[in-house]
Amino acid sequence: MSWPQFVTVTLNGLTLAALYFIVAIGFTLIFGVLRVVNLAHGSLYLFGGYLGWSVADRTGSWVLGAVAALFVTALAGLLLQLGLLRRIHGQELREALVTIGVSIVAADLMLARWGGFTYDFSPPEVITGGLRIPLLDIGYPRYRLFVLAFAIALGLILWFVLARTRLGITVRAAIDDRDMVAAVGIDVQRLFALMFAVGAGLAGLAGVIGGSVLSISSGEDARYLLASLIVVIVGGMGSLPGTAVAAVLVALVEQYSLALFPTYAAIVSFLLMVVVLALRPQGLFGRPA
Amino acid sequence: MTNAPLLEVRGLHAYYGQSHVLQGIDLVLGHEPLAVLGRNGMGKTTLCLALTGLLPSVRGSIRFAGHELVGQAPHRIAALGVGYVPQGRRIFPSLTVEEHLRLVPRRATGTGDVWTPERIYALFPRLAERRRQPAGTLSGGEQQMLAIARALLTNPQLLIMDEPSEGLAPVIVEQLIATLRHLAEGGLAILLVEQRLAVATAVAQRIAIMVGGRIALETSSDRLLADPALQQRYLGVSARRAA
Repeated sequence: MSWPQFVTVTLNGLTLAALYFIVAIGFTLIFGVLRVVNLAHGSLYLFGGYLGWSVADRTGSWVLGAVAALFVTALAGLLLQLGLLRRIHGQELREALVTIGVSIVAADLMLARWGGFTYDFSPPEVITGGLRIPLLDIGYPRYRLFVLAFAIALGLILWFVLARTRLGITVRAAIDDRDMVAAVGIDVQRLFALMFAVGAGLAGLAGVIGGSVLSISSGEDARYLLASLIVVIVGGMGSLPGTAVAAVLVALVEQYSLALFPTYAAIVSFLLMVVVLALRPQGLFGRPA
Repeated sequence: MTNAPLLEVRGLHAYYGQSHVLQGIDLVLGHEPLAVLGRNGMGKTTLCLALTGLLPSVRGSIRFAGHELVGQAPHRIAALGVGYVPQGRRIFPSLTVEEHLRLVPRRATGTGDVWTPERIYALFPRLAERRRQPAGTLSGGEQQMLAIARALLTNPQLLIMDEPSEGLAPVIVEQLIATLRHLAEGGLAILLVEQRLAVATAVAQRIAIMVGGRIALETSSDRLLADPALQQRYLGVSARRAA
């Protein structure tokens, strides 16, 4: 690999990591607090992408599309939690089956509404176009760097909320022991609903942000669910730093192997997962169950 | 003030899946501490979980300060004034001492007698020294103080404690007993679930003995301590070994 090519591949890896982080952080927060593996997380990503595209198409505003995706998928997640998952709370097999069922139904409904087309976004001009990287004399899309900056900002905001606010303390306590949080007088059902809304909203927002890197089309739901699962398993369920580190690791491994040995690239991220599971079954930053 | 007892449990049944763990518990508690003694597997922890609402499959009646607790969510029960110190302490390992105290929503009591973090630190100076330390790194005794502190901050009328002496060094157990007596003198009702006769009788004069999911006997500390045959029969321990 030449030096400029190495830099480009690394930047691709980091910006993909940023996207993985935005998708997976909602997944891991929902798992950490509710102990629900939401297998419809990819559907929320795709729904957010489609919906954001439609809103952006009507209004001509990408930002409005992203905001709509955030709030409408948050609402969809809230309904999923209050309408379905709350009734079967703690029954892991049923939760898995119900969320898979929802993802299948949602995929067909979205296919009926948006068809099998590929949708391209047009983000605002400030964050599009190319950027010349000095010294190396290579060009790099500005939008991808925006995604990276956005993910870092989101990570810092989440870190601040988790570390410093009373809500964050409650969330961390609930990740440790939900029953004891209830026993000190906190309504955990409200916390669960809030976490589901936040996690789902972030998935929807990621649909617009990720869809704008390339495009959005049916099938992306499964792809990002799988990416979230790998990132969260490698990083440790329910851990913010774990998700960040694992997103970088998974995305870099994916991009480097694509550049070096494209034929076998698909299995390399799974190998990474296998190695982590063999050495640290709870994930890099997870606590033993 | 009415003459109704603070806590009145009638015909309480509880289930873990198929197994019928509590088989008709009757208990009355005023402001005098009550200790529930029993061997392992007699349903003592299940009783605590049923009282605090953490076990959903419950039948019967639990009247507390004029409210029915059966069917209420755990946070509602806590808000009504039931504090819980669980078996194994179950502090939050990723929170610092200070964050534990910040977490607890303060219940309005209507009286001036309110627990604040400052008052907690005055009661347990060790916790003040360790306020920025993650709770997972505290010693067993310190974790127990923190578990009690967490429950006290909800400003309970009744404190339910499940085997607080478990795994603590004898000198720490002495401090624990002194703390519980001090709290009881301050007007807090205490339901102490214990396996250790010495701890139970040191804190409470009233003793209920649990066998096979029922209250088999209600007696007093003095009578139980004076009767090794009774201890042998219900607890399978001699006074000498338990002391």
